[in-house]
Amino acid sequence: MGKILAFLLLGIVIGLAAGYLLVSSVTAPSQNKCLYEAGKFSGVPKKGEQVVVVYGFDANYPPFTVMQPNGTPIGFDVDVVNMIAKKYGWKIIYKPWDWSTIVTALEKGDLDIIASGMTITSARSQKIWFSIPYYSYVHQIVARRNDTRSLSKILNSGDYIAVQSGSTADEWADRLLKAGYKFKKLGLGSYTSALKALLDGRASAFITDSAFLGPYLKKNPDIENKVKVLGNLGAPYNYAIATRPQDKWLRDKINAALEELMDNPKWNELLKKWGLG
Amino acid sequence: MPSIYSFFRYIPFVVEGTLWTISLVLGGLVIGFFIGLSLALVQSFGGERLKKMLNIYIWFFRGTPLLVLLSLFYWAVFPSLGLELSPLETSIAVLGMRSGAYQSQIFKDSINSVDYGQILAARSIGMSNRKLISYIVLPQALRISIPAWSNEYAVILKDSAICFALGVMEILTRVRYVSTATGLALLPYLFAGVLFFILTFAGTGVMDFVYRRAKIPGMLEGLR
Amino acid sequence: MKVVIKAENVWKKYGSTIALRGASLELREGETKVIIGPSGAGKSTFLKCLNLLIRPDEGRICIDGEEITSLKADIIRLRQKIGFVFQEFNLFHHLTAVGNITIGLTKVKGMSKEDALEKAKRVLKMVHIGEDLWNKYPAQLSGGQKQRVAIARALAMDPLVMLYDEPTSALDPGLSSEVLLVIKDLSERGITSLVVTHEMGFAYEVADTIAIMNNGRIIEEGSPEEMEYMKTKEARNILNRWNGMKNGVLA
Repeated sequence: MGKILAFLLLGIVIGLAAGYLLVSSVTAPSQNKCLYEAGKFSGVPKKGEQVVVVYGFDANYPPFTVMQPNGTPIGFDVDVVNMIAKKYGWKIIYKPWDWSTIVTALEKGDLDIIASGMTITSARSQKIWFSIPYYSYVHQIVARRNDTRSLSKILNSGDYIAVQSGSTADEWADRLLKAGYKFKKLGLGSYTSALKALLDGRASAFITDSAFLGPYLKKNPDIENKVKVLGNLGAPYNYAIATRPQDKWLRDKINAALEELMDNPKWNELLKKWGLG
Repeated sequence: MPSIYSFFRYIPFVVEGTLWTISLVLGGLVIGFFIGLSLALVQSFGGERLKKMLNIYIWFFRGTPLLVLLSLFYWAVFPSLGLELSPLETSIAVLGMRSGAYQSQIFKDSINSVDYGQILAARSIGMSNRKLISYIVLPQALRISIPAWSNEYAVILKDSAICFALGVMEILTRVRYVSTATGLALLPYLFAGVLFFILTFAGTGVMDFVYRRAKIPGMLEGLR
Repeated sequence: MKVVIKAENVWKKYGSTIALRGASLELREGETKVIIGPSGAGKSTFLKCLNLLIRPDEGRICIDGEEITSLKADIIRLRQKIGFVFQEFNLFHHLTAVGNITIGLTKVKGMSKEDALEKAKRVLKMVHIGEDLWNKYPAQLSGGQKQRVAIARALAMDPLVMLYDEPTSALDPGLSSEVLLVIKDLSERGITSLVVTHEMGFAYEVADTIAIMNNGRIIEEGSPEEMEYMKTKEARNILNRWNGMKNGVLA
């Protein structure tokens, strides 16, 4: 009996040790602590000091942020951030972060900026402050090309309409339901899976934003042949780079760089590169 | 059309996530084991007031969604205690404290299933409570716990995916990213499924080994 | 002769039921006393009170001259002076026959493993458990074997007195005799014993004194020969009811 207890205990000790080693070894390279004081970028940094900006994103949103096999992101937003960083000689640390807690992570200093297709909303603006917008889009409602029903028929058909849960499209679905339309909402994990639901026939329509749909259809012409845009919903929305309210210096720098970038003809090339032009 | 080949380049990226997943699961289970066992002992042998306090702990950790616990401890509780824990450390601690609440029920049940007669017998030969717990109750209770405990391993493996809320890049988050990047829905998740299967298989394999080593004729047969 | 156990006016209540109503008893060194009485008389409760497995509400119990019911008493140490054998054996399921005995010797008495093993083998021989059974687990033993191992477990602690709480009532009739033989044997070796049993034959054959218990107290005691001349009607009634069992199990 003593042997078995010892065996169990030994296992636990080894487990603890292994766990600890794993923790410390895994933590060291990629998990840089982000315990900056609030107001890290409030004023002008000291001369000769390297500015290090922790860039938070959820790589779930092509073509704005997508993960590469080597663990770094690419995409329109990533290019924009890199261009800003290059202009000022900043060092960027890429930090993937879950969308559900990303605003808190920025507020609390785990991240310094968010550029991940983040829409300016009034709710978000109470906690975090946005740069000038660098992209605008509208919400669109999409159906299968062979579906001959009108928009209002589909909205009142009682069928499923797919959205990405928690997205602005999701909010639009709720708004439509509140307005009295008769359909069922199918909340899914991402825009791509919501679009797939439409193609599979699990949903009769799909609410998306043009920022996702346009580039995606350009990249996948076979899908473009199967769907059609039934109409737009509401006014345009804007994407911007989020910062902490107190980081005025950083925001000013970003705004200046964005203005310069968007005035440059290269901006259109960048949009085209990602299918957004 | 998304090419299947594009996924293969992502395999190392996904596999790297197992390291994170394993640290989450292992760390959480071990912390949960000690918390759970202590809670169970107090619940079975401790005083009423202490029991009530622990019930609050258990109620809190079982009743609060993991996502909320992670945010709460990472951004509020630990900083206010002066603890500067990284997202991974916080995730392990929270998984451990939560698992402890669940494991306490497992251990409590198995402690209670050691019949009272044996405790009387241990007292009758002059064992103190501390001795009878360590030499009579726990050796049996831990054995009885093994099957339910294996189950807890599977539960925590599943829960570890939520730790991405603090930016911990375990397997499922990576797979989600890969699915988005490649436009493939099935293959990346299938691959994750295989990884989880291997982890589950390895884990239950270890538990089975322990179970067989610890097995006592006539004591556990009825419990499986 | 020295008084090993002295219980005076022991009371125990469970909610509204009163299990013991002032039970008293004295056990002398070398004596074998059998307690008989109808079920519900409080025999088992009384026995468990003697080593404080159940704490009585009232009354005084002295073990070897020390009061175990005193709040200052070192119960752990005093319990070691009393070997207790349970109706349901209560062997430790996770330990072998030998392990059941050595655990107390090593963990309570602080004996070395080797010495404990030696001693375990010796007591197991005393209760007629052969070498083939030493490493068997409780689930692999018959009821009679289990109870003999339980007796050995208690005996190994070198108690001043052995208490047996209906040691055969969980056994098939066929298996009772092997246990009763062991108890008889130990008693004949001079081990002070207090036995609660329904086996009248055993009582008449082995007991120095028989105590009759009813309604939570000992009503009368006497040697087996005196049983026919009990003074109280209550005691005579109980005896009459039990006489059918006199044709004992011990041939």
